[in-house]
Amino acid sequence: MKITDLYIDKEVLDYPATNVICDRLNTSFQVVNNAEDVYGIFANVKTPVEKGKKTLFLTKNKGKFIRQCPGTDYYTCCNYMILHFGIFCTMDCSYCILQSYFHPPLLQFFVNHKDLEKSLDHLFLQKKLTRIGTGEYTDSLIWEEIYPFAEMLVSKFSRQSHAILELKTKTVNIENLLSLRHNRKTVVSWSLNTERVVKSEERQTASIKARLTAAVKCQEMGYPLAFHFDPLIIYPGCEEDYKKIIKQLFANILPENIVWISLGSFRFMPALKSIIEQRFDQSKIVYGEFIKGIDGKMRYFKPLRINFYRQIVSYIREIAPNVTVYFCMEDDEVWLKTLGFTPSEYGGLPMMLDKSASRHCDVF
Amino acid sequence: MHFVSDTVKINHIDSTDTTFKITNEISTDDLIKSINHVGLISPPILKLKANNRYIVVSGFRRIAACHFLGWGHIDARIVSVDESDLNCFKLSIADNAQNRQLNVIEQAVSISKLSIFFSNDDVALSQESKKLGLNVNTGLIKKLKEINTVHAELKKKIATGVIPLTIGLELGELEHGTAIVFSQIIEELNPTLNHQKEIIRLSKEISRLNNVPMSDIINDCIIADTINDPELDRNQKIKKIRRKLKQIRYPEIVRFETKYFALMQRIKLPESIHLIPPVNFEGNTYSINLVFQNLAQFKDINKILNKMQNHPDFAKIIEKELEDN
Ligand code: SF4
Repeated sequence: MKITDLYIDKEVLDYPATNVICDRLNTSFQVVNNAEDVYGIFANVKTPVEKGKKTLFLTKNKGKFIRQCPGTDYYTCCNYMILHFGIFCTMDCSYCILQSYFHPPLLQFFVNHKDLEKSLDHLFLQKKLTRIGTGEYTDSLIWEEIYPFAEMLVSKFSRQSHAILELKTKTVNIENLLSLRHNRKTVVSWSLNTERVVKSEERQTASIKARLTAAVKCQEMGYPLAFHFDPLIIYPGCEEDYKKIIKQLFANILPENIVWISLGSFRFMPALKSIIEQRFDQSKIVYGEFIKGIDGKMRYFKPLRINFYRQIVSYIREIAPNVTVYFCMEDDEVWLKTLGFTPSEYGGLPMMLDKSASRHCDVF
Repeated sequence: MHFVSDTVKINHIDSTDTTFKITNEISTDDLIKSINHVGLISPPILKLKANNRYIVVSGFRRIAACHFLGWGHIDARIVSVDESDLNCFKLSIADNAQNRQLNVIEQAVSISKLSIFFSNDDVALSQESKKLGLNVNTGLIKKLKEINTVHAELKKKIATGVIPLTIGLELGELEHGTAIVFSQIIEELNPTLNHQKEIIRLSKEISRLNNVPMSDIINDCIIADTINDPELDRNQKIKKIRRKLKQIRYPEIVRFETKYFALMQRIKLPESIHLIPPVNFEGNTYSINLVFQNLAQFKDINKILNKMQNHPDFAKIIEKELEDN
């Protein structure tokens, strides 16, 4: 993690995690009274995203650590929970929503881990099957380079039987995980894409080969795995490229170790378009055949999405007919025309995923 | 601010010093006529320099007109040599803005000159400008600041209102020749602002997507032919160009829509039944608008609807399965 500017909220100066991170980074830092002091620095910055990826603010999460994933009414959502432990990312994907989501976009790591643990204890006490992930507002494993955060989480989740933790990443920072006792309550997952998309749109991420090698190591250590083909990008010849990655996936990973595979075609808030055009001038992903979806996001024209999904699903089904495949934010028409059923036939998407989690992770 | 009114020799005024000049208007014909007829109603504002000479704060054209008329002296309002540049700029802007509506380029020059004193504080700049009669909000200030990068030929078109400011700025980002071609299309066809934006956006995106210069898109996709087609009126030309660009930019969407309309034609719905598909075919809700004036008409519609439900093309439309058509 290359941090050029480190700011520390004066309230967390003596927190154990703060000390660990300062030692690891071994760089000078500035103590600030509040977040506004740091945000102010970004006021006149011409390239805030670039600066934000090198600026780290250690602070407290003053809101909720555990949140509901923001879905929308029309498209089918999976009722996922988010463990909100940090913000933003050191990698640089053209399509990353985080570029336009936070104002200003800067790396923040919440070091009030006692509060986080309390929130988790409270969740576990509810004894309700929960799927919770850390990879919504950041990448789950980038922080391992400066703080062994996953270690604390994996151990904590291993000691209960109702919730599973999903660590979603495009890195290969799994070394800290390998020796841990996880009790199959942590699912390690990777986002996958075609070589071409990784090369042109995912700066500073691990190669697909490296991601799969890391996944194999986790598989060997008994971790349940998951994979996310999201965002699927449509371009001439993309079907063959995705077929190749799917084959590569199953050449390395046993279908029975996969808790789920999600599919989601590229979608974005209109405001992201100009950011991508500016920051990734060679990228063509925003010039697909998009329409404005019912949630206000730009999405591929539905008949195109459906045709494309049909292909991807058939490639997966050919090799792994029983693996749980689901769509992230699609409607019944898409489900029916591509998978042949709607989630409601199985009690709804949350239920489908809960069942798969039960099977693979021994949660109830 | 303190003035003294005085009469000064015209040859003591240095009109070549344009520090405070904000106007780009050079024609003095109208002023010459008016001053000749009724005299100089509003004296120019000058700033005293060394050696009893003056620079112009406001009134370049008035001075030029009087000079043309052979006047040796002119009444003027003089600000002291110690007056700050900021105050002189304010005077210049207020004097011009009070007399007439400044065009976009003059607004841009005013903002550019004033902004030196407001560093990056566009809110304060906007507030100060409003006090001077220049009604610009922070959004407009941002755009006005960008005008400096626009080529002179385009600036002229923006100043004369041939091209709207937002479009001028967009064209300013293009290679000069391409920008001029687009400005000519706009001048010739005068589409609505939204259509102008759409034509530029589609062309830009096709260019990026296919790695071809934007000028090629204009030449290749019959746009040039359409513009010169004597058979078409202005609206037909605009429609045809937009359709063509959309077809290149969104081939699958246009193909789908074309099939949809072909099926609709085969169903042959009367004007009294209007089928409305989901917006962009994204949702699944279709609606039907029925127009009738009496029970007999309603019964007729009902018969057609009953037939329609068994029409194979109607099923295809509802299922959005148009491929085998
Ligand atoms: S890895 Fe994820 S969080 Fe990081 S930049 Fe890419 S999309 Fe954003």
